[in-house]
Amino acid sequence: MAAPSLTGVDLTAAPSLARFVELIRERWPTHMAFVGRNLAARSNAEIRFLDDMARRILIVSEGRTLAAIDSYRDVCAQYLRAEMEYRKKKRYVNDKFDDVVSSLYDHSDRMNSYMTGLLLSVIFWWQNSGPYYFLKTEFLTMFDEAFALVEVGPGHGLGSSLALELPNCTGITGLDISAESIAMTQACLRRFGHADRFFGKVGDICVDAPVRDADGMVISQVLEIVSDPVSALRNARASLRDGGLLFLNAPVNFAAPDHIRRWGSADEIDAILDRVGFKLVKQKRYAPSSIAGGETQGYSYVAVCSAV
Amino acid sequence: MKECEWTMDSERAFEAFVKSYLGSRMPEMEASIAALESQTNLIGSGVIDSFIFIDLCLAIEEESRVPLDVAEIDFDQFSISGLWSYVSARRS
Ligand SMILES: C[S@@+](CC[C@H](N)C(=O)[O-])C[C@H]1O[C@@H](n2cnc3c(N)ncnc32)[C@H](O)[C@@H]1O
Repeated sequence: MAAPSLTGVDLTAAPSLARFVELIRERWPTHMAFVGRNLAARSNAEIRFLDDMARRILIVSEGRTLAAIDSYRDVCAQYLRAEMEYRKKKRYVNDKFDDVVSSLYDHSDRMNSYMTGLLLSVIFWWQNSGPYYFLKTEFLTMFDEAFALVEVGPGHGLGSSLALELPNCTGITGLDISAESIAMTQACLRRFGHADRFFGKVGDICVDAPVRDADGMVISQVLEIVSDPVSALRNARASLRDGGLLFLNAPVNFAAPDHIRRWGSADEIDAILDRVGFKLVKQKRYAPSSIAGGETQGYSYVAVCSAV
Repeated sequence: MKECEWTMDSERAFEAFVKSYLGSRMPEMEASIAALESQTNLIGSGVIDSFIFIDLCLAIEEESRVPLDVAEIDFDQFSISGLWSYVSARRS
């Protein structure tokens, strides 16, 4: 397929990303202004990374790419609605996990479409792709020797797949409160050929430490959903060996249909990390480009901490 | 926000309200806003981003007292005439 021409963006060496861009052009041409602006802001290394994520998403979506674009469009609409509600009422639409479960997670059709739509946001929204880029380039590179990870709420398995393709990653324990969710992660990782080193476990991070002495832990887009974030991070600390590393990604101040707890600032999160026994090693903030390319005060907060 | 003279009785007045609101939010975009055609997709054309779009919807909601559910409006209707169709259909 000829690379679509986007001003200032060369996608000739990024065939999977180019495929999704082409699909957006076909299915949702008015979104191209946003896509073009977003991709033009990326470095060559970031474009290569996005292409690699797009390749994984093509594998996960098993050829249902047009449906994926429609789901993505729907997710954009739901995010707009959530953001509008948030601006009006200064609180997120749902404030209990049970509300999210009954309005979204319990409806497998809705949930599948939501998760598929979110997958595409991982290539088109930098606040969703940037944290994975950080995971790959700034977190997973910190392990010099063999390491075992835990991922809480691994979702579509993109984060776990980045770790499992490293030869020194011995395995990942995936913990999720929902059996359906963990089955989905396993199915995705099977398609990537990584299922043999992924061990799914159903449980609540607020209640128990899933393992002991892990070398690293990933908690991405979960802290805004759990019922008790302090207990969740305390159990995260208890799962790690001394000196083990935590990768945390949480949205600060921006709304989504399944965000329950509003973090008003990264300082609030840092204070809990400090309280439960983590020392901040590095952090970064990824501001959302809006669906057309602007910025709000919200951002994805990414922190890497060491268990002390 | 600038004073607006929206009387809510026609698409023209609605257009004047939208342009006046956007002009007050983005004075540097005055020329592009003035040139907006009624059918132009506000976000797709790159004139405004989705966050300003939400602010615009909130302003329209406040002015018209018509609750605006953005997820009910198709992205292709994110134009002055699309928004007018939505609001005028729910005003009566
Ligand atoms: C939005 S998904 C995160 C997906 C993926 N990590 C990402 O970054 O996109 C949140 C996941 O966390 C799980 N979850 C919510 N509360 C939990 C808890 N208390 N313990 C373990 N998992 C939980 C949900 O079931 C869901 O699968």
